[in-house]
Amino acid sequence: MEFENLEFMSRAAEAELFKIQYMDIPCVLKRRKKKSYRNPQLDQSLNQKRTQTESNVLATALLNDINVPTVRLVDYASFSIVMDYIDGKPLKEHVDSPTVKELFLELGKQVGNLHNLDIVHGDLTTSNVIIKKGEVFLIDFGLAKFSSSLEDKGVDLLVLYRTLLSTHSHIVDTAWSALLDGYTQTSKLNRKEILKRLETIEKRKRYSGH
Amino acid sequence: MIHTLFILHWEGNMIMNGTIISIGLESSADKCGVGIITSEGEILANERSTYKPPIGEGVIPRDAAEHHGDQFPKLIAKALQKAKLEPSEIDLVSFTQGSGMGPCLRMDAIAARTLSVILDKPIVGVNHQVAHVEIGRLLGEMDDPVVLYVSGGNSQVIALSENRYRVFGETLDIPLGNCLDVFGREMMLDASKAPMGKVVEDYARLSDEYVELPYVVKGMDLSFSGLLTATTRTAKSGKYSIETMCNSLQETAFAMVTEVAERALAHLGKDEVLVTGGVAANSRLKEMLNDMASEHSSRFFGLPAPTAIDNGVMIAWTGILMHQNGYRQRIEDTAVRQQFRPEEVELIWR
Repeated sequence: MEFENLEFMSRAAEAELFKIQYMDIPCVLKRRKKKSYRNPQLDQSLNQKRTQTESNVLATALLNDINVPTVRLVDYASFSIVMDYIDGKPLKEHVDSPTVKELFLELGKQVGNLHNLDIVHGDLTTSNVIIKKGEVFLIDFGLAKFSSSLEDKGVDLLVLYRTLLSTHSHIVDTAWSALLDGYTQTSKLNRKEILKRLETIEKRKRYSGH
Repeated sequence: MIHTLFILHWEGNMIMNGTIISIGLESSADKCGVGIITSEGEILANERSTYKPPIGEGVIPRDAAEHHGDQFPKLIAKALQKAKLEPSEIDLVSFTQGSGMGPCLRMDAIAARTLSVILDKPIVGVNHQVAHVEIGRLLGEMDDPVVLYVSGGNSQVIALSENRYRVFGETLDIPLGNCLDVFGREMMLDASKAPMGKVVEDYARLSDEYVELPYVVKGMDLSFSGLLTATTRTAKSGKYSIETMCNSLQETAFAMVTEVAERALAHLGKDEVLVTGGVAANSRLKEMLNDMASEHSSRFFGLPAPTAIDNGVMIAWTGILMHQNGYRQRIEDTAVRQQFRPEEVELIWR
């Protein structure tokens, strides 16, 4: 599928992002790249599966009132997804705002709801959360999948925790406790259960030792 | 104690003005190696002996350690002879302090302490992963690479970030080399003449057929245990040839590590890719990494086997970097550390 007036946005390891107008709506075209280093059969299958999973996850989340970009079009042949452009700034640029606590509380609620649908995001970082007019949106579901396991949900939260620790260490305590508050408000899991799992995942890390 | 410190300090200053020669002892796993290198980066000797368990069996640390204890005196003598050096011409004794298998590590530490005391030369304990990165930087003439370290004991993507070598992604269960080894053992492939990785590679080259197998990348982390089980099961079903299974296993596993290296490269915005460790000897892996690197306008370097496989030279070289930048260690502080992470090392030479 060919699109007109592609405006290059960014290039990640796996895909290229373009800004486009689709039926007069400002949209993002995400196109996965063919990798010459991979076996062609494996490459085709991975790109197709990932495009499929990503669009399914987004559609499921949207139908359940979670703030994610609306999917407008999916083209498996070119591994492309067209979705709404969320006009806002990433959460990482809001960490010093006075509303930071509320933002993380709201993020916790959204993630709790997402996990209730047995969806894990796979790459929850403060770059993949967009604040649009005070509302929290989750983007980049490139590594997302359907999973009911407590383990996967725990890892999801842990990725976010590590991001806080490594890039926003000055607000880690406030942000993390607000996030857990929000998470436990909506999630079917209780706080104790999830904290215990986070601890065991950390312990299991290879060579974490001391 | 004051006396000892004074002597070390004084010696350090003397050495700093000229070229120094370092001997490096490595025995963190099944290999035991002795290397000699100068502070100019000239490799004078690189001797190694590998502990070989009986066919169909894995390495038992205690047995490997016994082999290393036996081999060190011989290898040290051989290395000195190759380098045409008298023992007294050695200026620095470097050894692997961790990470690795406890009993094996204790052997290189014992050998190093003994040498240090007999020769009355300073001793430096080196981190194994840091040494892999440093010898790669030296020989690949690289400044700031994303390093893929894949062997029988490790599978990690390491890169410099905030003044430390940090692990960006790693295996959550078994290492890549181990996955290839165990598959070969399960299929009773004969690894008596060549390492199992080479045996698998040779079979893989004979097939173009690809069977889909579990591809498990979780963010930046990898998992090979499911892949190993699935490959072994499919192979034993007899539906496909051993060549096809070896090819499919390689294609899948190598694509996984290449993808994680690629993510690190894109995320950190670097432009050099280095592969090291025993699996770096595989030409298909090198080909994939090279293709990936060129897609990102990056330079690729694959270390040749003698310096990619665990070796004494990398330890000797890293010892020099540490020593020349003021790192000093007392014998009392040379206890081995099985879980020594590269992040813990302050990179005083960078």
